[in-house]
Amino acid sequence: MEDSGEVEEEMNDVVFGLIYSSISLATPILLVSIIELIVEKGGVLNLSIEGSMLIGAFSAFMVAYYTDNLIYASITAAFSGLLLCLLFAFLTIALALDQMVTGIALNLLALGVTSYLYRASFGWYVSPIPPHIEKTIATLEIPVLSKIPLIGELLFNHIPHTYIAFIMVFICWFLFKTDLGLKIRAIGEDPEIAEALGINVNVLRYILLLVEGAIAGISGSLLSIAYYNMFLDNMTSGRGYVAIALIILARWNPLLLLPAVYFFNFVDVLQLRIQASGLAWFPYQFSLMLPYLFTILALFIMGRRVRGPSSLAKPYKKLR
Amino acid sequence: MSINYLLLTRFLLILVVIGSAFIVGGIIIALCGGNALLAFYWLFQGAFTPMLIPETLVRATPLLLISEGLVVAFSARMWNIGAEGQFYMGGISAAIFCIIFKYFTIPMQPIALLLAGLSGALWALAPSILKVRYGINEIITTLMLNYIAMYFVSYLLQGPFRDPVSMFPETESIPLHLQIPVVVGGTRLHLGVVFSFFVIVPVTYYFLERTNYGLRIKILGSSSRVAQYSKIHCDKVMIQSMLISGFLAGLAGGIEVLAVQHKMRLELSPSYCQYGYTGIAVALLSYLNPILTMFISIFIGGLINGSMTMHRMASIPVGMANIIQSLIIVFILIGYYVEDKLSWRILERLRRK
Amino acid sequence: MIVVELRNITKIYPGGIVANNNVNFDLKKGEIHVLLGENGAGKTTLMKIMSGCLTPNKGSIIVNGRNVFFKSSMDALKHGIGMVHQNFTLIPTMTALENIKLGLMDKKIKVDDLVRDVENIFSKLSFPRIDLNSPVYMLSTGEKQKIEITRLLLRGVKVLILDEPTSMLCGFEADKFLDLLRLLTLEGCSVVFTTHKIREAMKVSDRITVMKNGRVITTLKREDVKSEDDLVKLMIGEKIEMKTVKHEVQFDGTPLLLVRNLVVADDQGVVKVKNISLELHRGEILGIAGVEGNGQKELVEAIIGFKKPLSGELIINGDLRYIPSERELGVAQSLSVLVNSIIRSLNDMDFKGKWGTINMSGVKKFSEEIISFMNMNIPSLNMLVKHLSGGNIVRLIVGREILKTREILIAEQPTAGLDVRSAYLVRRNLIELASRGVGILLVSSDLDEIMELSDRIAVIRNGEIVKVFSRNEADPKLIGAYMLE
Repeated sequence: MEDSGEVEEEMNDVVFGLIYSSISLATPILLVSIIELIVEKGGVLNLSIEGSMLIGAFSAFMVAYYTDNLIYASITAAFSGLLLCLLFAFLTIALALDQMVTGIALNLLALGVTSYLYRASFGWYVSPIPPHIEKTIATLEIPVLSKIPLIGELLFNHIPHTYIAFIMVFICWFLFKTDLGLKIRAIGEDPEIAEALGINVNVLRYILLLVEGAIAGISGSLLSIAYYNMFLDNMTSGRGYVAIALIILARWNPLLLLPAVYFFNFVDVLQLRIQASGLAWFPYQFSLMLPYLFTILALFIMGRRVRGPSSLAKPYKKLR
Repeated sequence: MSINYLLLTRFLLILVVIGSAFIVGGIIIALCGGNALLAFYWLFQGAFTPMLIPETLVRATPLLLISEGLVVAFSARMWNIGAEGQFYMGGISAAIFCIIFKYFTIPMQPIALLLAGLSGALWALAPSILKVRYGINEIITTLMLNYIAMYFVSYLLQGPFRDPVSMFPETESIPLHLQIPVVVGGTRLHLGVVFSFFVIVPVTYYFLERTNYGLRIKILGSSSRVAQYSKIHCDKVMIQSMLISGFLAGLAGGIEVLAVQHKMRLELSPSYCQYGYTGIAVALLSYLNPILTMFISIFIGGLINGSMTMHRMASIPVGMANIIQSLIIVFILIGYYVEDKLSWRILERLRRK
Repeated sequence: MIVVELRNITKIYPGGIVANNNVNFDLKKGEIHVLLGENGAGKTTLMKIMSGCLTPNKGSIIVNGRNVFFKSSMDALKHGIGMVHQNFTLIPTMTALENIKLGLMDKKIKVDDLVRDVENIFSKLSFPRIDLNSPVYMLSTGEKQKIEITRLLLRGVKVLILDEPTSMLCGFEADKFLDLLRLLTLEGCSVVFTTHKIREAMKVSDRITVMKNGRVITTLKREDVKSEDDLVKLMIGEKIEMKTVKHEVQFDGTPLLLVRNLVVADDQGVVKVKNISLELHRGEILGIAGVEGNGQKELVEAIIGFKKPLSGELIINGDLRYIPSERELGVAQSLSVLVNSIIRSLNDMDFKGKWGTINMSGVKKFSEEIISFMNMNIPSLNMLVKHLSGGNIVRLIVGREILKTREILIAEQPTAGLDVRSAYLVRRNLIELASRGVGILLVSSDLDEIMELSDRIAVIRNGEIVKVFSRNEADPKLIGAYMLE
């Protein structure tokens, strides 16, 4: 027989779990949004982060599966994400192709290649228990701080990437107070004038995109070797696109991006809990829909006529 | 005269793009330990032998309809990535309509198809309005709606409209009198194929290339500022082009349900090569030309079918078709760049004459 | 002592236009050297070569006695040569201070020091205070110039090149600016600026070089120039042969276009048309004379219906055609010449077939008409407009609009970008249209053109019509005075 004390404890556990997951599972999107924000401030709209994340998830899983070494897996993820972004950079900078269409094209390519290679390795109809790895990335307890009752466990007991993501928000904010940040903003506002002032627009954009590729790859890897221990087709399910929408909502301000990402993730985690709790009358498909509906609604309410960097997504051809 | 050179270049580029995609695909197959030449042999066997051509045409039909719709939307520079969701909404609407009215003996197919098209258009309405009124990027909104459509259809197929006797999530079968009939005995080649190839293609071509309205779409796609100065109602044209695209995608879904699957199921679009996304490849590869789209969709349709044969006979995972299709998109984008550079050279040469 | 010398400079643009033809030019230390010439004489090209923005096809640049080659404007800056472009090299959405910092990126400077240095220069040159933290688009032209000059001086630039610096300044500001140039030379700089205004050349120069059609006509010492007429004779020339003949016109009845107390703002919300009233009559050519940026653009945008006026009345009594000064607005680049001939005539009955289709033969006929009318030489009607030369694009637009003009034509810079023969053709046709009763609103920065063609000339300055001249009252000096004062 349950008494009120036990029920209260259960509720606390649920709330605790929700908040903890909101922070923890937000990490991939947070990492990717921050770096994409910087890239967009530099004038490039990179939709292919979705593909980079997926490739990162896949390659990390494969390396972890065959070598049991999570460090190699992470490095491979960074490298593969970087390769895809390099391709994107080449197509949109050297060839000055349309950034949006190229991004979508590379995402489709990533989807096809990862699904194919996964099947090629493990067979077409994957058995009831998909191949999985034994150990995933461990959480890192921060000494002293994690011993604080309640708050300690909530905030200071995550995988290292979570702390890094959080710090990156402030690094980003600080970046735009430096000279480098000024250069990035300049190439995003008016690349022609920036070029005339001696800034090499294309080189700077290449560098930003390569860094983004590596980070996106690692963020994707978190899905397959940290939160879960397997790879699934289209594992990223549009998270890359959501990151882009969140940047618009945050009006390209890193300090606003942080709450936007956490709030979105809270909704996402909430729908997972609703599914898990097995409310019979609420079809699970509707909770799966929630994150996507939420994104559209958020854009509708808060993403109107928002002006980003002036030359965002415009192809830039160096004149001579 | 000079135009012929340009058309020739374009044609050659299409061949090079397809060829390159196959070469890269072959490399991937080889890297995974397969025999690329054997694989491709079976690929073409499964697509273009005389006996299998009707199947290829059947497979090409939904692809054709979706691509024609995308050609219209892309011509107006509206990037409709939501064709997959619109396709599904069309399919489920047609199925539900036929199930509700299954006891009516009059042929309800036209109404069902109209409803399917309208559902697709409706699914494209919100993103287009959000883009026109509020400047919200339509790539994100249409993509989100794809996921929403899939989950919604999944709910309907596992819940209210689930076939009581089947163990799969799908609707009950559509009665014979409400299906779209086959026109060539012994095959699955149905009336919808004929309709798509002989009605929709010429109508789309005529609409886009020969009508005043089609011209407005193309001007808008060229530059929205120029369109404004030419007194074109940009808002209206943008929304309408998306609606047309959604309508054709929904129609494709309806036809697929009524003519081929005879019911609505979760896998209306092959999971390894979804029509909604493959349509993007087809539209781009055909340089947004409605006639060329017809040929390209037959080719890609064959590719999809052939990949199943390739899987059976050479054990190559079916996803190769998907890879080739996405490689085609990447390569055709490069092709646009090459064509642009070449066209300047050609014109320089002509100017010297 | 000569600081910079340009020898035998030739620059040919792709497409065959010879912008500079064997030009020789030199700049002495501490002097103010004016490069005088009409629009299109080649002044800007020459200065861009001198500042490293362009490379010449032939010729050499000698700085302080040594032969140099500039790969980019940064190279020139390293040699102490800097240019203030007509359209400025400032990023409008960033602040003045940020723009200055951007131009000094390769030198490590602390912000506090920077602000102090800027204020130093401001006080040395007696600049009024400018809020360095406001975005550049909110600054006036004069303020933008000061920012640019300051940035160059902070880099240690000793050779200052200014391209048409007074074209967007009103009279008072322009005079102050010219005084500023003197101050700069006292600081050790050498200054060269380009202009088409003789008055300015006379006012403040040490030497004047006159350019025409890509060549240097002569270089004179200021003290050797007796009067402005000497310069006028040097600048103008064969133009007199191609002058059109205009007869006096009487106007009747209701005006075709009526503008009353119109107030229009630009895209940023700044009011550019402050209170304009004018009338355009049947058969009249009304010229709008004024320095670019004084509201002409917004006035025209309101008339053609592209912008809603904030207040005032606009009555249009006829069918309106329009030649845009921004040529990209008049053509769809990715579509063919054939199609482009009708993009502004989409509702025209000539081109409509049955059931909403296009009457292709009608379109073809019209395209061919434009081509022969404007003497265009193109391989095929199906070629894409983006492959056309700049001149042909102008011919296409102007020809198309003129042929379809029935009642009213708004012509912005109708001959800019055209060769002498085509320009003459266009002007002759404008007069012919007027003689048939068409009302033409002519907006042009070419004062000669306005004077040649207009029945009345309205001078626009600072968003208002300051004076209207009739044809026989028109005098270039007087008009110029109203434009600039």
